[in-house]
Amino acid sequence: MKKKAYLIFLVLGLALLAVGVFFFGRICAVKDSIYANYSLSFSDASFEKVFINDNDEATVAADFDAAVLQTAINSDDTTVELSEQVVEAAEATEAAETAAGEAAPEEVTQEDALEIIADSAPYDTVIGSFSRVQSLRTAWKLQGIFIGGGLLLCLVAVALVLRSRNLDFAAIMRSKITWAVIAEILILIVCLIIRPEFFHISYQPSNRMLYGNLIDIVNRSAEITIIGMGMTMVIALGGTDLSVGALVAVSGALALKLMRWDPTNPLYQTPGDYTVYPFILVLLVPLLVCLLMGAFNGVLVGQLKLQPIIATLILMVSGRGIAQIITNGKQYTTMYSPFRVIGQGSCLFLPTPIVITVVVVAAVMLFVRKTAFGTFVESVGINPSASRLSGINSKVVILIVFALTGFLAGISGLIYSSRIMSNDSNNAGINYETDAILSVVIGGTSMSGGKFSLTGTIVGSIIIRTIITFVYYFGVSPDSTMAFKALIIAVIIVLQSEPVRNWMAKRSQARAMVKGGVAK
Amino acid sequence: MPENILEMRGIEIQFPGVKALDKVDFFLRAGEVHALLGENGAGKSTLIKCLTGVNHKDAGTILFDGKEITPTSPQNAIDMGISTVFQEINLCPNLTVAENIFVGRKEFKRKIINAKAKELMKRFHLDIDVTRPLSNYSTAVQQMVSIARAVNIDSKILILDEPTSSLDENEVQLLFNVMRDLKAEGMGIIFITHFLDQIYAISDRMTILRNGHLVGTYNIDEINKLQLVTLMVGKDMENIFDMHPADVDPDAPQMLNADHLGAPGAVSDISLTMKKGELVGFAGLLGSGRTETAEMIFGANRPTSGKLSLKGKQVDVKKPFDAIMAGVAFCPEDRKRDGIVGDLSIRENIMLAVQAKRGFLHPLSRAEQNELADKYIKALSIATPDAEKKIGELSGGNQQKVILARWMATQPDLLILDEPTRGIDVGAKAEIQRLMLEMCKDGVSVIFISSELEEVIRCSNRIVIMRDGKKAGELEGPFDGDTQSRILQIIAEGGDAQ
Repeated sequence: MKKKAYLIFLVLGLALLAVGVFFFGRICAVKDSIYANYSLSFSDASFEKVFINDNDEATVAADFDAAVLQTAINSDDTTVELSEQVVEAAEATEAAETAAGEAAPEEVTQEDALEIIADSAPYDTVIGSFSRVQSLRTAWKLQGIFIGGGLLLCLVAVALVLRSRNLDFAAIMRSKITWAVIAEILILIVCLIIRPEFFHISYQPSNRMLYGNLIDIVNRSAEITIIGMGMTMVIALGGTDLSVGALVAVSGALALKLMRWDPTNPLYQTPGDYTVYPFILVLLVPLLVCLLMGAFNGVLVGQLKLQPIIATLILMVSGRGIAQIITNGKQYTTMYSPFRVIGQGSCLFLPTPIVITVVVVAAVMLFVRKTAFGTFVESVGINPSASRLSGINSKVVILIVFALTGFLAGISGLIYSSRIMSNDSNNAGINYETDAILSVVIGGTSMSGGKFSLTGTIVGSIIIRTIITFVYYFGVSPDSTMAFKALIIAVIIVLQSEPVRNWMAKRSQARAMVKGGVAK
Repeated sequence: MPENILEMRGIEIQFPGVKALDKVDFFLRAGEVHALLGENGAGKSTLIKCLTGVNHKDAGTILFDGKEITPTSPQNAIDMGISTVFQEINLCPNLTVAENIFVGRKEFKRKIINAKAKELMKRFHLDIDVTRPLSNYSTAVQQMVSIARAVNIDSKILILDEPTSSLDENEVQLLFNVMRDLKAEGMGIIFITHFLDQIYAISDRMTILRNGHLVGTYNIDEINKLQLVTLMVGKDMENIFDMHPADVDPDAPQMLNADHLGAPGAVSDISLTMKKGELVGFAGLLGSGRTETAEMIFGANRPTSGKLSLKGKQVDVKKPFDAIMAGVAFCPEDRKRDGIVGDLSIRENIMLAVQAKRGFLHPLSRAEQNELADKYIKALSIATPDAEKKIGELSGGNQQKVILARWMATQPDLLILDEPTRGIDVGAKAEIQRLMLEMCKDGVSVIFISSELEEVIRCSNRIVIMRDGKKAGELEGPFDGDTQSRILQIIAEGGDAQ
């Protein structure tokens, strides 16, 4: 009846997003004007402290000046030279003072420049009035509201499109992925109501990257999403892979070892911006080793017919030990900048892990759905005997799935170790196996195997990360984070349980029937 | 006129979009075997589920022993004295026979239940050790145990839903003896089966349903098989029993040559040659080596001795994939366990073997898949709204057709059909036989394995008789009225009768 209703939501949502982007632009403009004057960029946190949290003008002004000075000093500590504008400003001041007949020093030193910055009272020259700060504040809040609201409306529009495409509403209500998406939307709505700033997005010109909780959620879910792609298929085959967390540790250990390990050269005894072995090996060796370890799991499960839980338990337990052996129990750190890019760099204004995830997910989806591999996995997962008699070589299918999962765990390991620029055999990838399994289950793939949904797993992984970000953002103490996460996940799983879904489906069916009766 | 123990009047059940039962009457007398008949989807199961409290009726009354009842759950029905034995055995294989019979009852002292179970099994003419786990015994014994469990609860009505579909001839006779005993004790038995012969062997009356409507209730001697089939299907099926194989060209090239194939513990010394376009029927009891022979030719079980050649070339078949590449196709006996991939769509099930043959890196495009699926849905008249329906939701006959389509799509030279007509209704049965014979005419050689001698004799050019893992005899067509007794004689006495 209202088939075009989704259009209204979509247009409204996009409009809100556009307004959000407008405010985003305004905030950027203010920032730009600050940066243009001093060529110094604030970290997002200090910017928020000064402009959003300070109460009266005097405090804002004092804190702003202090922050500018602090950034200038910080940049002095490192190799970064003070910008030309500052030097020019200083020279101009000197010149004016010289003209006034005072003693003129030969050249401007950095100490002088700092002094000049402090004297020139940056707040007055750059910001000028408190009303500007206030409008910035409003823009900041509104951006969150508009981006959050726009996002939610767009999600509703997508839901409506799905509904109109698939006429069987009961089937949609019975689908687990529906409930996963509803859960995600509910969490975001709570955020929007309590603190719209949650949705704030900002831009950091120094490293050409967007910041904000939404970006952070996707960024931080990268490891689990990537592993989840493989885990989905392992579960579709009716198994589980417990070794992924340990493989993350192995991957990181290998990468760091290759960058740092050269006992003969004293230059390589301290961390720095170098790599001992070529960067390509630093990337390929961990991936290859993880692929082989995954294949080892695959052989145990496929050829030797071990139960997947038992088979992968071997590497789960021994993997961290192997990682310790690789690094001789050392925790290496590195400052090698190309390696930093993997976990902390930016690409297309987004954190690199997001881009890596998109590429990996696209590649896996193409492989699974554009070849017949996905169908074979489902077939073996549903009925191994019938699949064998249809000519499918289930051993090969199992081997590929486990090897792929190992490979993906290797990618995750590189991202993780690049984030901390170190290897941490005891803590890298800890609980990743449970988080990945949870993502798959929330995404609607049954633990008993069969039909699987990679998209569902992405949703699941993002939900898990949303909960964690949400909990941190609202200041729940770290001790109770796990309990809080467990609580929300328990609610989602209950919503997804078969009796509840069937009950909801029946209700909506009954309602549809009543409506149909009235229409007649 | 004996008294009705059960009267179901004007039963109506509405499912979303369908009227599953429309004003159906059903009367059961004490001490009779009453066959409930109809094609798949006719409403037999729905009627039974209504009686056992699984489905709830929208209209109508149920009188049991003269009192109106409304069963709310299967347990409720059992408490009232209505017991059901389903096709799938739902017992615990790791408990002993005695424990299985008495589980959930007040009696739990091992000595007492063992003694009672022993006595009960004697009544079923079974002298077995009731203290051994159920899984030690054959399907037939397990079926008897589940009946024993049902009967032991002082029930007045016993519902047997396809109890014979996994039993061989002797075991069926055993079951019939038990049914006669129970009948003599005054129990009313509702008997559901697809085997027409068995209906005539044991039943007193029959009620026929079609599309949720009552066709009628008849005494067994009132109508013959042909009339019965016509009533069930609703159209004239005169020509079902009139399908015969075409003659094989004596000069046709050789398709298959199995030379002294054998595998320890299964079969030994199987030799068989087949020509192009020939239909060879396999007869023999369950476990006589029919299925095992087929599995050896298809590579599902590797033969340890003997040679196999296809189209004159010797082949080494290590796994089903090798056989498929060589042009062999195999519809397995247990459709549910080895045939269908339940959660996948009809389209995916049809394309599975073709895709396996090509390898997953050379996928059929979605358009090709749709074309393939639509072609076979039409050619085999598979009853489904579209190709995306899950195969698990189809009736048995349609599932069988999809499996057949899966193999026809690979364009095989040799097709092995192991019990393709088991557990499917009479209309679908006829269609599968017709397809089989048509494929033979197109030059495909077919091995047809069936427990129903009648259809083996009618459809085959040649019949191989198996006994105790060996080939006991081979009969060349055309066959006459004596063939059946001759086959039975070979099965019973063994030895090469030729």
